[in-house]
Amino acid sequence: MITGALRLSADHPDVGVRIGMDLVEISEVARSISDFGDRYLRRVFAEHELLGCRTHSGDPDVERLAARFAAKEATIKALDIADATELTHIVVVNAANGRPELQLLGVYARRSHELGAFAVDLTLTHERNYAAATVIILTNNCRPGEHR
Amino acid sequence: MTDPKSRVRDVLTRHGRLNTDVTSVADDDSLYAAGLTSHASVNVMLALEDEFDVEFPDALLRRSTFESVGGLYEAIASLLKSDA
Repeated sequence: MITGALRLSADHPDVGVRIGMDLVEISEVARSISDFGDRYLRRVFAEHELLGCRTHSGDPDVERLAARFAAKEATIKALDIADATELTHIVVVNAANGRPELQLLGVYARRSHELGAFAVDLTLTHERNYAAATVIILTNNCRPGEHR
Repeated sequence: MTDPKSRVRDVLTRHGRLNTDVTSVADDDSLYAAGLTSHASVNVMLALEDEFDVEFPDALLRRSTFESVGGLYEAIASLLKSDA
C-alpha cells in the first residue's frame, strides 16, 4: 500500500511508474575525452547535446556531459532494456523554460511505446566529483506483479 | 604477437576500472560483477577498436557483448574474421 500524497496505485490503478537513476564520476568522462577525444563524444552524445554542452571557450563542458551520460543510463534502467545499443538515440534537450527533457529514438522509442509510456520526466544534477540523473516514466500498463 | 585474448585482458586492465585484478577474472565471469560500469564499457569498446583496428557495429554495442572476457573476445574475433 502506498501512503502519503502520491497514492498512484490506489487512485490511478491503470498507471504504472518506472524509475531509473544513475551516478557518474565526472573525472571518468574527462578522462574519456582526453583518451579518445571526438570518437568518444560522437559515440555517446548526439550533435544537439555536444553543441549545447560547451564552455565559454568552446571546450566540452565535462560536468554537463557527465550528467547527460547519467541521464542516458537512467533512461535505459527505467525502460528496462536488456541490451541497450546506441546511446546517441537517447537525447537530452532543453525545453523553452530551460528544463531538460528526453527525446527517445530507435529502440528506446519503440520500447517506450510498448510500455504505453505517456509521460517522462528527467532531472539532472552535478557537484564536484559526480553527476547524476533520475528518470521517471508513467505508463498506461502495469507490469505483472505491480500494485493496482 | 600476443594472443588476442591477452590483448583483450590488457585493454580491460587499462580501461575497465575493475575492482579486481583482470587476471583473477575467468573468461566467463561477469565483468559487471567485477566492477565494469556502463561508462567504462564505452572506454573498453573504444580501446578495443584501437587495439585491433576494428569498429564495433551497432549490433555489438550491447551490454551482453561486454558481459565477459569471453564475450569480448568472440566479438573481436567475429570482427577480425569479417575484415579478413
